[in-house]
Parts: sequence; C-alpha cells; structure tokens
Amino acid sequence: METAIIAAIPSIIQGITALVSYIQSVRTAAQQNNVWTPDMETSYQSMLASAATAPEWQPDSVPAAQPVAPVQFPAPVNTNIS
Amino acid sequence: MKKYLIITCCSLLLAGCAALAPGTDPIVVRAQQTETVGYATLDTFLKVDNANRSLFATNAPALHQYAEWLRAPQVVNGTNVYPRGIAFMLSLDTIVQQYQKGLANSNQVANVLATAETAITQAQWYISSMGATSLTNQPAINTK
Repeated sequence: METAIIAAIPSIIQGITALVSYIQSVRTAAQQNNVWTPDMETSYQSMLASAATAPEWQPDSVPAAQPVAPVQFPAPVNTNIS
Repeated sequence: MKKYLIITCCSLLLAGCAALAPGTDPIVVRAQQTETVGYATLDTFLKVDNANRSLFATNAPALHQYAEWLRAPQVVNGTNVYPRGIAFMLSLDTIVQQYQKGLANSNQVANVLATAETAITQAQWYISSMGATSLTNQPAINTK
C-alpha cells in the first residue's frame, strides 16, 4: 500500500501542476461572471503552494555537515598529594 | 524536448494576446495573465534545469544559478516558506485580491507585477537560449 502511494507521488505532482494551470486559465472568466468565490481563491492559493513540493522546485541538495569529533579533555590531574 | 519548448513559447506568446472583456479592470486582467504565464514559464524553466542539473551547473552556470535563485526559500505572509518563484505568484495573487477589496492601490499592484515580470522575462530568455551552444552573453540580473 505504502509503495503504491509513493509510486503515485510523481503523477500526483504532475496532476497538481496541470491543475494549477487549468484553474488559472478559467479563473479570469469565472471572476468576470461572478462565480469565483473566496473559498475557491483560498483553494487555488493552497494548490499553488502545494506545487512547490515538486522536485523541480527543490534547491540543490546541500552536503550534510560532517560530524564534529568530541573534544578530548585532558585527564584530571590528581591534586590530592599525600 | 525542442518541440516541447517551441510549443511552450508559442502558448506563452499567444496568452498575452487575449481580448479584454468590457468592464474588466485592465491591471487585474494583466496581473492574472502574468500569473498564468509566469507560473507556466517558471515551472517549465525549472523542469528543464531539473532534468540535468549537473550539466547546466557545469556548462551554463548562470542559468543554473538563476534556477537556484528561483528555488531559494522565501518567507511569505510571515510564517509560510515557499520557493521564490512560487512566492512571486502568491504575492501577485495576494496584492490583486487586496486591490479588488480596495486595500491596495494600482501602484502597489504595478510594483509587484513589474517584479514578477522581470523574473519571468529572464526565465523566458533562458528557455529560448537553451538550444544555443553558448550562454555567455546573457543579460545581467541582480540575484542578490
């Protein structure tokens, strides 16, 4: 099930991109006919924002920082002189 | 790939020729047309760069640098973080909404519109130049 969902992600993202373009193409006409509601505008903005998850919108991967070795403190000096 | 780019460029050019319906606000229509063309342009440009990032980074560093500039995360509305290209479109959409509600004036819309158009024009230039062997004569843009 999870594998099928992961495999479907690219097509879902492609679908979002196509959907954004389609909504944009009909929005102006919908506004002129007073059928474009605030809820539709909110949904449109959410859809546009979700397009940012597509691979082409991700910046180059930054190499992971190398782990820093723990600082070795010198062994405590025994000051108890007997 | 070349056929895809030609079709995209033609559709982008034709989108700007749409007739203006009577009674519509020209700046709103222009902003929405820019938003539509802009999203398609930036998405196409980034898709092509994403197809072979290492090639463009080596052979056309300015192009790849511009793609990375569009991908750089930006804070929108105080809390949300989006790539700069998406942030341009969201900002344009938000200012148009405010303008339609009387909360912003046409100069503010024009300013956001000009910023978005500059970014889109640069991406269009890179798309049209992708078939060229040299990308050394690209116009300078301040990506700082």
